[in-house]
Amino acid sequence: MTRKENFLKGFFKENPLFVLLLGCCPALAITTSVENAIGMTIAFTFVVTLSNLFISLINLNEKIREFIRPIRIAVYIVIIATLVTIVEMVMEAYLPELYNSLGVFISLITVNCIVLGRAEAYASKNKPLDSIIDGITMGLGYGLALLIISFIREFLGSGTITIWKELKIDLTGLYKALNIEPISFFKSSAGAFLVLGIVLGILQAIKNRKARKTKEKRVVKE
Amino acid sequence: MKKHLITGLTLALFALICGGLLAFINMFTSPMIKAREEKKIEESISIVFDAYKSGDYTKEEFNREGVVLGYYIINNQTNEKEAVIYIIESQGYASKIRMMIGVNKDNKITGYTVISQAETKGDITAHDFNMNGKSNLDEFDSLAGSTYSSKAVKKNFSLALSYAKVDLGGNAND
Amino acid sequence: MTIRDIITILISAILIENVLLSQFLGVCSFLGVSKSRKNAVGMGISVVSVILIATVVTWLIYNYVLKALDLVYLRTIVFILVIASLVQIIEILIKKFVPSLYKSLGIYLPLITTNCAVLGVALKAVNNDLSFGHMLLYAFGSGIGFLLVMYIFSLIREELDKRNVPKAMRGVPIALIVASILAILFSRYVGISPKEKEIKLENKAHVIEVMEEIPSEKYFEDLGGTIR
Repeated sequence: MTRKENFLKGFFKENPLFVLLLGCCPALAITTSVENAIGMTIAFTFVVTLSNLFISLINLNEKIREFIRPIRIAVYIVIIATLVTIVEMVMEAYLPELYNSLGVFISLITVNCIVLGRAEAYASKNKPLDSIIDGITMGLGYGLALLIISFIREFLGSGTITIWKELKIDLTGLYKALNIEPISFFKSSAGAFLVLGIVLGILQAIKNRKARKTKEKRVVKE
Repeated sequence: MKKHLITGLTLALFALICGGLLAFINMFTSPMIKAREEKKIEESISIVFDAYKSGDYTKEEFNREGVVLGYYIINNQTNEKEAVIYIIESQGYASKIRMMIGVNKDNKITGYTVISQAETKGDITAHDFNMNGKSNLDEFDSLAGSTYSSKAVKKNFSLALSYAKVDLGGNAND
Repeated sequence: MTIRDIITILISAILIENVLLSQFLGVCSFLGVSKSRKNAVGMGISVVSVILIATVVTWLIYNYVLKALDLVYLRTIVFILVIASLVQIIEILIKKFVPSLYKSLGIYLPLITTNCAVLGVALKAVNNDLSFGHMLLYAFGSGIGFLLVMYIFSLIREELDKRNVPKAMRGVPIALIVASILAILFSRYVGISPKEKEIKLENKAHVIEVMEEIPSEKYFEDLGGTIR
């Protein structure tokens, strides 16, 4: 896999949420506003990139790798938890509103399947630079997925798009023009499940269509 | 056996190093957080006891059973306790409601405000996600705020009034 | 703590603020495991036990060790290490004493470590400053709520697998749609009507000049709140 392919894979081909179906909990919980999605993406990408880096570094040396083999999961968890705690502390001090919105889900990055998954599946077997790229692409790819979901939920749910604190795009005018109200259902938990379900359904439909088309092409060739 | 011990100790050492790193960062972030909490308390007290803004009063923290925290509002000139402010909490139907309520010497309520659990001094607790964006369908019909049980609110008020009678004594309406 | 408080906390944890459908904790395992009834129940029971034990242990450590040493910021690390160790210990115990259970649970047991529900409930219990009794009820209720939803969900999914689901929706998408419907049901207090009237207060401060007595409900109405 070339460096470029490695960098791009997290966005579409191996998108952690949409393709690998990991990290659903925050995707449902915090996607009530675009601002939350952006904040979570920054925090998450920070953690997964650095965790990949450190775990890759540890596994570089043969002796160290063999030595920590029996306790490697525990070591990975300590690294990830430390990184998450750093994010918690910095966020609580400098970005308190975001900290309050994201709440316990910042701490839950520690047990996010994506972080531990990439550590075990990729970082422990690859060089540091590749691991960093893998972390960045997975983090940003996850962020892209979160953004799409929160865009839908916030637009349908409250008619605004909150990019950062006061920086909002107020689209309620659109609603007024059509004489309807934003549907607050989409901000609720049931709405979260529904949006994610429909988005995944659409993606699966596209995937099925592609698979069918390639099958047809193959049949025609023969 | 020896190998297990060594690996165990390595893990412990590693955890200690990480802990040390976090302690270092904490030295910087902790004061910022504490300062912000102090500011919030000052703001809330100004809301609950309007005259506090003028600077003619000092607050004195105290603990008592039944409240989360209490503050005496002392007149700087006379050194008398003019009012008492309680941070008080009661269990409602589906959640707790925490309020700051001020009661003056005449046993009348000077003001009140609803505060979230995160705004208590001393405890650097994370603001629980549930307090802000509850996922009950009904709330999103409202513009702001959460749903509280009226009984819990009333309980907060009646407790504040009865505690104030004891803590301030004297001129209470009997 | 009155009986009424106990019931309130339990109903809130099991139904109204259900750990899966309302708080979104443990969703990954929920979507992955709930396909068969047996797996769902097995997973559910193990998660309940781990949540209960882990929350108690972490609560004790938080309130008696971390707070005393002013090391509150270490809670994430300490909690996750405690949970990981607990799961390891439980795994060893089950392997030794109930090997048949160990076989059927298989890989699900170690995976409970990374289940957001366990860490999530433990963190919420200390973040919300719960008392010991409240914490016990909350942890127990959350676990029961998790089990309940897993079971109902597995029943529905077993039936769904027999029907003709549109190809695009098969698997996870239709599961999420079903979860959405369940979430609606659970959020509506499932048939229990609150005896107390719920009022909505603006989350701003209200300054009152002088109040003679405890405000009546009319007062809150006049403030702009609505009585439901």
